[in-house]
Amino acid sequence: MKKILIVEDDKRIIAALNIRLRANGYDVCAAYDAPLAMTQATAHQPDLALLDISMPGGDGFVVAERLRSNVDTASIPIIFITALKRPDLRERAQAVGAVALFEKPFESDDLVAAIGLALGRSPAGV
Amino acid sequence: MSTKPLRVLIIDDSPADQEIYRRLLLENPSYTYDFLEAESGEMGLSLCLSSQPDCVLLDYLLPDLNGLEFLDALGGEADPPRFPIIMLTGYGNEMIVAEAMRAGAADYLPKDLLSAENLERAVCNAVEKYQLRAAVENQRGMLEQTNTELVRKNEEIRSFYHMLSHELKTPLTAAREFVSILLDGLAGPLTDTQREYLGIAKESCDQMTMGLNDLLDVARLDTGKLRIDPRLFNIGVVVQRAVASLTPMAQEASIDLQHRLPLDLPERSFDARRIMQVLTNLITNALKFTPAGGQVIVEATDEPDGSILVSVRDTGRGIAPDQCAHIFERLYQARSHEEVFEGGLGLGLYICQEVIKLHRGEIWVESIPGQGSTFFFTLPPGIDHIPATPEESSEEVSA
Repeated sequence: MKKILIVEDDKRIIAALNIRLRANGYDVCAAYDAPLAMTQATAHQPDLALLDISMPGGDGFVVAERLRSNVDTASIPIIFITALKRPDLRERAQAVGAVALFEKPFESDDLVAAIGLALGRSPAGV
Repeated sequence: MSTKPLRVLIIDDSPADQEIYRRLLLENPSYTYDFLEAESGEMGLSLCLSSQPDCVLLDYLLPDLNGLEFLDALGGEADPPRFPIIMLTGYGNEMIVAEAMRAGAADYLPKDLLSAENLERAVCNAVEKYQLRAAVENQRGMLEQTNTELVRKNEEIRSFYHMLSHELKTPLTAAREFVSILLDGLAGPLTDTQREYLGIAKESCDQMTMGLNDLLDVARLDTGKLRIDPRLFNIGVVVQRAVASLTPMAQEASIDLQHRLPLDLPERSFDARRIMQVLTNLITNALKFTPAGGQVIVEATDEPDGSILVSVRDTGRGIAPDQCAHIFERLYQARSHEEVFEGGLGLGLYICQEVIKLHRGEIWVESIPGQGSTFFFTLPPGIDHIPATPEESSEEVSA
């Protein structure tokens, strides 16, 4: 079962993503901030990371950089989810090699499709 | 003129000449004077700095400095003194007056033509002129300060909007996602009524998202920070995408939504995402105000002047002529009392107008009440080099 790391400082959004992703056949681990994200990444070796951008203690780009510089997580697909609306975020996300960026509120079907695509699943899902 | 005595600094190496100037000025009793005297340029300079005279009478030919050197020592053209200097020239010095005036002298008088009348007039004119100039300077400084303050306040409001939008979108995302989870049956089967009610809740979340995004755009417009990123693109593709994304909404309302595009539309430089936003807004409005069975047609044509003309035509209730002029205004909402609330903050058409303006295009509406409305906008050719204000990092908000 593929494992997804969610890094998001809003616990309700983590809870919702957890339900949604498990329903789609994924294993989920989560972190509320950047430092915890690395602990979780090391402990769980996720196959994909879903990162919020604006978080206390280091934003999503910081987490992305750290994932990239860690041998075990250097090549996992990264998807950003953000409540910020700024044109430069897409470019920055591309620069760290993210496969997608979703604005909050996101369309969960699109998010699940993007995750499936990044993990090499057929667009039809599971 | 103030009742305070005028402080006049007389710089002349001849005590006799000094006495003449004093006497000539005192001949007119309508002013009072407070005289200061200096017999050399150096002494005059130090008095200029220490006693802030209202006016200086300067002999052009001093033993240590000439008038030009004196002006230069005071700051010259780059930093002229804040008080007027009237140059008194002897016979044969007339040639240098032009240069002296350029160097910052307020006026000049030939010594051999001095009279009580012309000396007083020269002093009073010069003092008044400088006082006015100082007042204007002062006002300008105050305006500048106010402006800086307003720019800062605007920036504060804008970053507040961003913070607000971020803080509201996060719980909104959670609410919408849990509603979706219920709708998708992930928490168990639903009755039709439950499904219908949850659908309404989800739609309301989407409406709130649009409202928040509109607020952000208006905050950006207010501070001149709404940026467009024009790139060569085919408007036909944008029209097709906008129509495709709103077809479900049209079907739901039983409205026939179509696009009509010529085959050979040329590429033009525009911000595809922003134009998509404008089209989405116009089509959504058209669908909102068109009854079931009606029609909405989106067209794009290549005009002879090289611009692209886009239109969104509906068979809705139309817009009264007196409202046509106002609907692009900020916060304007066509709404009569018997109507139900249609949603929206009244910012949509204002944002459309501003986005089109940023493209140097025009937007307008033509309408026949009862028959329908057509919204038009143009995208002129050659807007590749619109300077964009870079977004600032101050928009970044931490949760």
